[in-house]
Amino acid sequence: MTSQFKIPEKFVHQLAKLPESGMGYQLVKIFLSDGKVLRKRKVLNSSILVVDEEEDISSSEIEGIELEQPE
Amino acid sequence: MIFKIIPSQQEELKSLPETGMGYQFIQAKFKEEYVQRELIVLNAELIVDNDPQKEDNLKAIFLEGFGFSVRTSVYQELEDIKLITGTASLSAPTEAGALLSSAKESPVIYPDGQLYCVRLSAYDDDIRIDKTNNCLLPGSFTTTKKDYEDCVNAKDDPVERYALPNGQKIDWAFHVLPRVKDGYRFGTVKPEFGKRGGGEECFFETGTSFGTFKKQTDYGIFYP
Repeated sequence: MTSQFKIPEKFVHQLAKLPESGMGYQLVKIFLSDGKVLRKRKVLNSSILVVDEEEDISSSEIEGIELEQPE
Repeated sequence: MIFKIIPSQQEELKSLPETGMGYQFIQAKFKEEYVQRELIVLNAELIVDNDPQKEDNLKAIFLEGFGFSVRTSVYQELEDIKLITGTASLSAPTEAGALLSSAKESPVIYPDGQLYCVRLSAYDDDIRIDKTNNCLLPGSFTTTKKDYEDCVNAKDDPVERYALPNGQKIDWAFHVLPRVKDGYRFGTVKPEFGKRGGGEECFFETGTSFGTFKKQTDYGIFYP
C-alpha cells in the first residue's frame, strides 16, 4: 500500500523546473533529515510524493529532492 | 537475455493471435518473479525482453540462426501471460527487427503546423500547464490528439495506455497546439509500474511557446 502527501512548496517550485519522467510524474531521490535516501520515489504533478505506507515519513523530514537519473 | 518457452506454454502461445508476422507482444511474469515484463515472443518458441538490449538480442538470433538460438537458450517458465493487443498498444518491429522508441530516446522533431497535443491529468491545477503564459513548461509530456481520441473512443484506460504511476482517475484534458518552432520528441509509452503503455507520447524538452495552451476540458471532450 502507498500513501501520498504534498511536499513543501520550495520543492514543488524546484521540481516544476525539471523534466518529467512520464506524463504527470517524476521519479526522484528523497533525502531525509536523518540521512536516509529514498530512491525511485514518484512525485505526481511535481507536488505529491507517493511513499510506501510503512515508511511513515512526513514532509518536514524532507531535506532535499533530486531527479533520478535514467539507467 | 534470450530464453526458450517451455513446451506446454508454446501451445498456449500458439493459441493466441500474432501481433505481427512471426511474433507476439506479451506481458508476463517470469516464474517466481513479481514484476510484469514486456516480452517479444518469436515463433512461439523464443522470448526476448522488450528492453534496451532487445535489438542486440534480436540481431544475435538472426545472425546465429533461429534454430541455433532455440537449441542453446535455457527454458523460462512464464506466469500470467497476456497478449498485448491494439495497434497503438506497442511499437511494432521494423524490418530490421528494431523497435520504436520512447519519446526520450527519440530525436527532436518539429511540428508541421498541424500537430495538436493533449495532456491528460488527474489534477485541475496541473503544474506543467503555465496558465499565465498559456504554455507547457519545459520537460513536459503530452499525447497526440489522435491517440487521445483513440483512447477515448475505444474506452481504453488512460492510466494503462500512458503507464501512469498510480490509479488516479484522469479527469482533465489540456489541449495544446504547439508552434512549428516547438521541438519535441515523439515515441511510444513503454510499460511501466505494471501498466501496459503503448500510447503515443510527445516530450517537450523546452516546453511550448506562449499562447499554445488553448483549453482545459473534462477528460473525453474533444477540442476544437
